[in-house]
Amino acid sequence: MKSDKELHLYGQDLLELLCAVLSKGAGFRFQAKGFSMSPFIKDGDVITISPVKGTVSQIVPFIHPEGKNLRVHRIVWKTRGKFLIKGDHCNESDGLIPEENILGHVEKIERNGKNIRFGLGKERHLIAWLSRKRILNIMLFLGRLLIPSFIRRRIL
Amino acid sequence: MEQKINIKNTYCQSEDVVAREIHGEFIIIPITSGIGDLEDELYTLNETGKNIWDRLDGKKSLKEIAMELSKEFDAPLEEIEKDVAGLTEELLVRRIVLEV
Repeated sequence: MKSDKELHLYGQDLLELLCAVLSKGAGFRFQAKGFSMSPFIKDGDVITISPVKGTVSQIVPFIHPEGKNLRVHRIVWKTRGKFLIKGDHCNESDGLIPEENILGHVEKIERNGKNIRFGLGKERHLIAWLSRKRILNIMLFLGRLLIPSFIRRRIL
Repeated sequence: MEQKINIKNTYCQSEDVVAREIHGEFIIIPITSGIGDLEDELYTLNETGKNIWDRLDGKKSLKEIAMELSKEFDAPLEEIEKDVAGLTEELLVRRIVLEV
């Protein structure tokens, strides 16, 4: 038996393991890939998923109804019993997602061994609202232009 | 923490693990403190390990498992017993298997 830190799982394989672990009522810790939730979750951050389904403003893993693939994005609104979900860094939303497609919620983000709280606390309500109104992307873009990177690194 | 393995004893797979074969790799994720940790606690078994794992059913002793494998693979019993005990000990330390 070997401890395998080099084995990186993606897509359906990751989804299968995530569902299997969550079905036992346990959390699931893995490395996030991609930039759709940047700067709140960055490529390579390690996130922990709670098996408790998320609600508006929380970041949730869900199965997209079209591609049947795993995504981890933020719920920005709830309407007619479905959740509007959108990546914080995305221009377009994922559409209205039924509750049964939501698998849990992100309860912890680790970056370079440190816990990142920004984006999971009460400020998440404002982030969700800004994201839904498509203001968040403009703010992030302006932030990149106007705020020096060494200050940005301290904030996010 | 060292665990004493007795070849005459029986062991079973813990219910607090997720085990899957993915792309030819047999993967085990123990659930420790309520978390299945893909980053720091993912283990893989080779084919021999998988053969042992499949037989850890809480019914057969390690000795019986070794005898079965020895016959099936036409290998010396003594060597197989060592492999079975060695792997079971590692799994026991990580609470992936439990003594019955």
